[in-house]
Amino acid sequence: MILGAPENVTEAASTRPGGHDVHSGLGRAAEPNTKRAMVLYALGALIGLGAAGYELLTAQGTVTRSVPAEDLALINQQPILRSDFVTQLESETGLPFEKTSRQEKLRVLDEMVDEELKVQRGLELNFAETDQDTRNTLATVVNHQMIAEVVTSQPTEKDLVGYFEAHRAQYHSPGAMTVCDLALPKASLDVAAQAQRAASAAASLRAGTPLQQVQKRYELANANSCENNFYFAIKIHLSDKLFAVAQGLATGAVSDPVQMPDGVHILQIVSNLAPAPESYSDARDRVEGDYKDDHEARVRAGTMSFLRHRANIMIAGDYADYQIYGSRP
Amino acid sequence: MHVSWHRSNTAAVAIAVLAALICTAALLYWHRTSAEGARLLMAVPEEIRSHSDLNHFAMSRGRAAFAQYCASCHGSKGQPDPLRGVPDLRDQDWLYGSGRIDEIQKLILYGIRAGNSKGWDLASMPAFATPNPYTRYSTPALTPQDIDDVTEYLYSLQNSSADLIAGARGRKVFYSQSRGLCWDCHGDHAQGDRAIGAPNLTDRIWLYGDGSRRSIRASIAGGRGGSCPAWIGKLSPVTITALAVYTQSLSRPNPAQAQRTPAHD
Repeated sequence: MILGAPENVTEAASTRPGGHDVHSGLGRAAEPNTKRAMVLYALGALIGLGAAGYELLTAQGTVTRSVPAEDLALINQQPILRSDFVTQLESETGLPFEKTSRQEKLRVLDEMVDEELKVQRGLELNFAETDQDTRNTLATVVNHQMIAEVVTSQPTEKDLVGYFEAHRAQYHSPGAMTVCDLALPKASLDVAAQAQRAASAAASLRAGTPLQQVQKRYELANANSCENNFYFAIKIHLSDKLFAVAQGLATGAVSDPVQMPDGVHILQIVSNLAPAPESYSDARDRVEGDYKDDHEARVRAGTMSFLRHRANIMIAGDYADYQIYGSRP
Repeated sequence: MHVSWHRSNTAAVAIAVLAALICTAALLYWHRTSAEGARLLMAVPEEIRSHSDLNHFAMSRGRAAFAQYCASCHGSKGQPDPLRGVPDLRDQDWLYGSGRIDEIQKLILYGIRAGNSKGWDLASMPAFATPNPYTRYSTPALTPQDIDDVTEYLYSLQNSSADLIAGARGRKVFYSQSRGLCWDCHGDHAQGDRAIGAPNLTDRIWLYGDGSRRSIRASIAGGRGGSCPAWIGKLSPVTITALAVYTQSLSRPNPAQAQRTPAHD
């Protein structure tokens, strides 16, 4: 591009001693050729538009002409990562990568190419819609993907302490007891006799008579052998009603007879360690787990809400009462 | 006027030349880095550190990436955090694999329990003091006595002051076919299984806690399952490979680091 000289330079040149025109070797002093510039601009724009149009209308998507360094192969532009190849090769051969033979390497590559082709074929055949196994796997994977960031996040101690303080009531030791459950089978006596015998057995236990003696004397069955366990396990083994009775008894106590469908039960509490509130340091692991669980639930709910609002969901008339964006029925 | 025009013209040319030089330098630098990156990616992973130029490139890039992305959990030098179950990257005790670069690379790519099906997620430590200790398959809870006994058994593997009678009971639970099933993950001799990330329970290296009865019991009762993010798609392949090389370099064959003084209750 010839820089146009301002007029005063042209004048100065033309008025030099001797009247010599310093620009004579270059012809007349350059003036902007507007018409030529516009033609060049238009030509450039046309060429650019033409190239873009050609690529747009004829493109098969973004096409890479060579295999990127991190990949071993591109199958219809889908990569097979070198890292995945190494993992599969070592897994199949049981050998470190550098000790595998060329033949083994090529064989595994061949398998991976086949696998990729099958996957792409599956996508073409729309198995995500028609094959239940594929659907199940996809849904599971997406489920995991939704919460991946939360799962691997590291909440700060401040966040965890705050969560602990807000949910302090749910953090306590599990509670454990050792309980002996004795039973008078239902069919053994009539109701009145049963009640009488059970009351006598309870009184004997309270008086300090050893358990085996009381069992023998009153012909009691040891319905569940004396068990030392956490509250949640005792509750399952005893039933809710009996557990409620046991929970309220102190160490060494004996319950009154309890009528159950299978007979009359007496509970002897050998030890009862009730749940106790825990400090943050004792509960920290569970606090972190619960904190993340809450966060995961919010992320899941938020993601599903986003997917629903983004989707075009149409429901048949006979289920018009279904709420697409409402809470689950 | 003539002088000012000449000066402005000269200045414009100088700026253009400088800009061209900078662009050229940037282009050359980018090309060189890309070429080095490509060489790094195509190299046999375990041989990278034996090539000084590749190693230098990887270490430089890996160090910077470690400081930016990994140090928040792993510390500036790969030091452990027993409160959060962050392992010591400076020793040679590997939870997953054997410390090969391609193994570390895979771990960085796909994570641990990070929701990626190619990542490490084959097992986690059940919470035996809960109604449903394990989500992966059904296994019964342990009683408080069982947990105490297994704790004592594991404590006895490294401490002579353990209660041997309780430890013997605990050993039965550890190797039981119906309760605990601890051997299934931790191996026939409690020496761990690197194929699934189950720690060796016979060495003095503790992922969580300090090897005291209290911390062992907490692991058995409450379960464990730490995680590491999957960086695929977030970091470039070159950065991930460089990180793998750098991480391996942190590991030193130092017996003093591999040994821990036994914990005392």
